[in-house]
Amino acid sequence: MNKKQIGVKNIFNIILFAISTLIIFYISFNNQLFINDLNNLLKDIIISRSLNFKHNILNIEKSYNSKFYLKNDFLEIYGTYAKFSDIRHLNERYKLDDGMLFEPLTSKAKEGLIENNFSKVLELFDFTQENNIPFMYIKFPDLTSNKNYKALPSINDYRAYDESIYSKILKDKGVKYINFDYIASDGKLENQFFKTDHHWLPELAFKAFVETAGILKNDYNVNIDENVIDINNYYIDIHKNLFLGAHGRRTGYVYSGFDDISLIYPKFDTHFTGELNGNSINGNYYESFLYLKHLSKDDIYNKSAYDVYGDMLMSMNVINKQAPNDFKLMLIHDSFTRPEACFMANAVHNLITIDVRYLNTKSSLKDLIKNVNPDLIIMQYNANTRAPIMFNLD
Amino acid sequence: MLFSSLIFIYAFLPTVAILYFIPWNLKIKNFILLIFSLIFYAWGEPIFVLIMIASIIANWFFGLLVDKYRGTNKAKISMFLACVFNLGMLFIYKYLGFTTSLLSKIIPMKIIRITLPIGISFFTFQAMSYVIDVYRNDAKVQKSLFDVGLFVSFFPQLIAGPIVRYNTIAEEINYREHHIPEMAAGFKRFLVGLFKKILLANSLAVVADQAFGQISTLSTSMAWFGIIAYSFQIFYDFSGYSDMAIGLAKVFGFNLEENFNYPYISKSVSEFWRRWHISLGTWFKDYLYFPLGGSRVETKGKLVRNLFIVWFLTGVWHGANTTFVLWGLLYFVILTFEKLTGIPRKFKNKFAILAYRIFTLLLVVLGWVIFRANTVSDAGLYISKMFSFNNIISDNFLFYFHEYRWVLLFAFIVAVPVAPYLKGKIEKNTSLFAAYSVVELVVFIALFLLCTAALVVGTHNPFIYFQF
Repeated sequence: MNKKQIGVKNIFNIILFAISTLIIFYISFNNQLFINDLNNLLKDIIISRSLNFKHNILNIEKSYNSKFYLKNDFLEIYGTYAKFSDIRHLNERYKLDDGMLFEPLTSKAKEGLIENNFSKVLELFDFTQENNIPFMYIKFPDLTSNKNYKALPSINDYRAYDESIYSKILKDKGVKYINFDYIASDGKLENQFFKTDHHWLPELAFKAFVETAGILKNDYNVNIDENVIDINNYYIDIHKNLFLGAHGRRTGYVYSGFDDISLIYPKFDTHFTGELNGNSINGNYYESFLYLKHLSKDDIYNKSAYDVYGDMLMSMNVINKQAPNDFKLMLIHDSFTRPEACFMANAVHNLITIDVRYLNTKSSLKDLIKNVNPDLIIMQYNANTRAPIMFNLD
Repeated sequence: MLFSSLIFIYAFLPTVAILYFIPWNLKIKNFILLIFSLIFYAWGEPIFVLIMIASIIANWFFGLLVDKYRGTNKAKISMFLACVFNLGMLFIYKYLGFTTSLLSKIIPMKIIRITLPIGISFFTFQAMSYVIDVYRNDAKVQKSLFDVGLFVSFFPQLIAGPIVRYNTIAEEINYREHHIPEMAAGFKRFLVGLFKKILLANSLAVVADQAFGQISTLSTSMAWFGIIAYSFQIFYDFSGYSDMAIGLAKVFGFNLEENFNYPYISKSVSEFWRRWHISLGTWFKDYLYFPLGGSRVETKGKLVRNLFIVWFLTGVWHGANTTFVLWGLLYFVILTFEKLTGIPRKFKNKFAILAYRIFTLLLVVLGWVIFRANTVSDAGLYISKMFSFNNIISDNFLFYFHEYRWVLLFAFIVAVPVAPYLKGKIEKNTSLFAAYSVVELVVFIALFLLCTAALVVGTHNPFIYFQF
């Protein structure tokens, strides 16, 4: 290398150094979200007088990573790289052959965890029996329920294994247990589940509603209006390329693309009163259950259009004045139930739902059941049967 | 704290840089570096910083004693005590658990479990080298406790080396200059290490972990792919760390020695060890092998003894596990063979030279199986899978190969000196050189952003050599 080349090399090194330094300082000085979070963390540390330095440091670093400035833009950069490198595994999500994102349960659950969680369900079952309230457990389908689901090599999924454990626990105790896997056993995955989200499409949720209505009719002699369970009596508005689901938010839209969502609402007249998420409602189905604010595309990394059904549906207690029955149904559920519960409100006189993850410390599920005294309780809580504490019954 | 973490690159590093470059006085600069080095070390496990501080104080004190009693037996005793202290500390934190677990198989006793302070093998060897260098008069004693503290705890090379010998940077602690071209070159070297670590090592780690996580069901192809991935992973993980360390040190005005030099192109195992983890090899050579007599001993028996001691301890240095001992002994056998027979230096035939080069590479790769496996029996099972040829191509292999084929290709290209060769050619043409410089600049910035993106996504990230 001659003198001139050394000079050129030095100049380019300095330019690289300058640009990199600018990037570093630009990001460092704009990390306002972290600074805010750090203030809160430090306040917590001072208030709790925590001397667990390791724990405090871990929390600070965790906060730094989660509040990192331009985080989502960097996510898209990596997603672009992954897309063009044809990488199928990104941020703990796998892209299946048909482009669906999937988060497998790659290892067995911690020993005793599922048993422990379902002992709480059994406890709840015993309580309902003591109070003469019929109780049923429904397992909803997921991607793996479909025979067209093709697992990626060496990627084990333990959902079915988990199901074999808890279904046995429930059946052995005499709980009525129904597995809805069959409603999604056939057909294209993309017609049943979101591409970027772990939830089912409202179309499949409607199928589950029809099946549940059939059970109510056949097993509990509930008079269900046939018009209500016919999809042809509903409008279906499809909002194209609207949102990123929970998986998509981990990989970025460049990698996963956007999802569509269908708004399914009745063509027939409806009228509901009562309350949803603590707010009173009085109107037709569209006004009562569909929250269109979730359909905006302005904050794709934090908003989910799936929440349009029931506004995240934490709880509801609604009266359907058009129902040809006086059946009082209670659903204990997770997020999968959101669209299905909205459809179900068309079929029964009184629908009470509670997402136990949002039960506050002052509420008691048992008290709620006693107060409501439903004709049937259906528990359909499938999404996180491995949570450290699935729910609290105390 | 990890170099390859957002908080290091975007919070720690700019903070140190600002505070470091504000004062003109070198003593203040050193003090700032010392404080931030202690914070850097304390970040993962704050309590262990006390062990390091104890090591700094003790070695500073032993250094003073050695200097004070120079030429007398007391100096020898002080140096000996320093070695006992350092090795004793290393034994307690690194080997006591392993020793008690071995002894408990013979005599009933409680197995003692102590958490391993991160990087203890590195900073202990470094601190020991200080006292020994002072004893040998290879370096002047350092009266300042802070300066000894900076030498031992200097954050760029604190946790995973290169193992810096005191006389390498003794002068620079008190007399060094900062030039922008040097700093820029240092930062560029840091980026090279970051790319190696994040884009190559972290990606290939997924394949290696997959292969070693399911040894019993491995296909032949996946077994080979897994260990090739691990061979690249450990190289880029460790050499990436060394690049980052050397680069950062340069930014702060220190010149550390090289730690790697294209080890996978070695023609013999002896050459491999002159190219791999050079600072550890040099340390053992200077402080153990040569004092034992090295190769210039009267009998072959003594040579074999010396080699045995060095390679047994090299294995043990890496960890308290029989796999590391076996790995060290494997190298003892091969290096003894090469020393005693003069192979492959004797070879004149090109085919024989090539064959021995392939043999070397194969041996190194098989060595990594032993190194990576949790137990000796796992290593045996893994090697048997590599040569079983029952289930040759599996879906598992096809999936991971497809997933990481580009990374593997780049890993291969970067592991051989293709880039220096091409650069040499380009340098002969001035206009091409300017164009190359522009392309290089753009590529470096793009890769830097991609590394940040990978850290945001949170890809697999631990450094292998941290455990040592």
